[in-house]
Amino acid sequence: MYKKAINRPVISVFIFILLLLLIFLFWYLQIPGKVIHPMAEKQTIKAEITNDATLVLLNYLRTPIILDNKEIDMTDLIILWQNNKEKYSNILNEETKEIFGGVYGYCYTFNIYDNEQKYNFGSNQYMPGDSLTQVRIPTKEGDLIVELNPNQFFSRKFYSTQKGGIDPYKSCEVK
Amino acid sequence: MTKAFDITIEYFWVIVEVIFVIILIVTILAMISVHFNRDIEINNMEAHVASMRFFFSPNCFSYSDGTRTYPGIIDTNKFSETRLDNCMKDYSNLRGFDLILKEKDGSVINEVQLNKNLVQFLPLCSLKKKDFECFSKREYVLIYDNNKIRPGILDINSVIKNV
Repeated sequence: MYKKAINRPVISVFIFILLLLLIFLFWYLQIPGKVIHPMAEKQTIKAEITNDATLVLLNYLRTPIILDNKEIDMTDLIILWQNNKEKYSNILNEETKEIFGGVYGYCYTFNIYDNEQKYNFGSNQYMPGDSLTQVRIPTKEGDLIVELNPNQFFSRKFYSTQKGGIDPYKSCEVK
Repeated sequence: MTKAFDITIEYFWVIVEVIFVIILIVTILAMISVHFNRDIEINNMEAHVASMRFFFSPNCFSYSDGTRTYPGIIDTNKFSETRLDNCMKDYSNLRGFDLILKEKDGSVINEVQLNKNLVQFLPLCSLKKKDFECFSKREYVLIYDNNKIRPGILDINSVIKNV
């Protein structure tokens, strides 16, 4: 008891002073411009990708095309394709690749779901998982879900900006 | 002898205690510090948000029929430097924009620039050490021209000066 009565307060004061010193040290490190914090972390906000993809998908669906000497838009073509997949698959595939190819090269996933199954018109390197942006088209035969995911393109573009050596427009090309 | 030994043991454990307390405090402070010292890269996000005006605002290039505005449809009559200057006037002079409107096949329709003194740094974007940040993106757009709509591409390049 006697020993503790002498030693503990001294130690407590010591710890208290040490604590104050540490707090001061970290406060000093947090002042911007004085010290570059070793743990500083760079973050990239990726919400912009979704924003972009939504705009591109919207424009894709509104894109006018000429089919049998009639001007229709891509939404109409998708509905025609739903009714007659054999006849319209090629033209839908070509138009889709031409439109998205100009923006994302080969690095994107574009799917159309109908009540039968999922059809992929995008990159062959299909990556399952999250759909970045999607639109539901109501039809007589049931809803069609059209989804676009250009994540692959943006991750390659980001890598290319940081380290170089990759052309995001060509990197997913299947030769 | 036994008493002295007891005191030594006591001191030893006190030192261990102190070390543990210090480690604990350092860990807690480090965690707090890391949380508050995150350096969030917002230059790209700022440029992106600014560039969204081109597509969504009728005061920029977005086609409007008088009743509603069509986001993503670029009106060629609106695609001018005066308009770009007006629609971005509340943004500071620290941002330069170079916009190239192209046909689907890549042929250039028109090019407009804002803050040309900054845009001239675009060819230097690949440099590692620079006091500005670059931002570029390509957007698939629809072009409204002579009451008709056709597909096109808008290339957006931006230079943001670091402060």
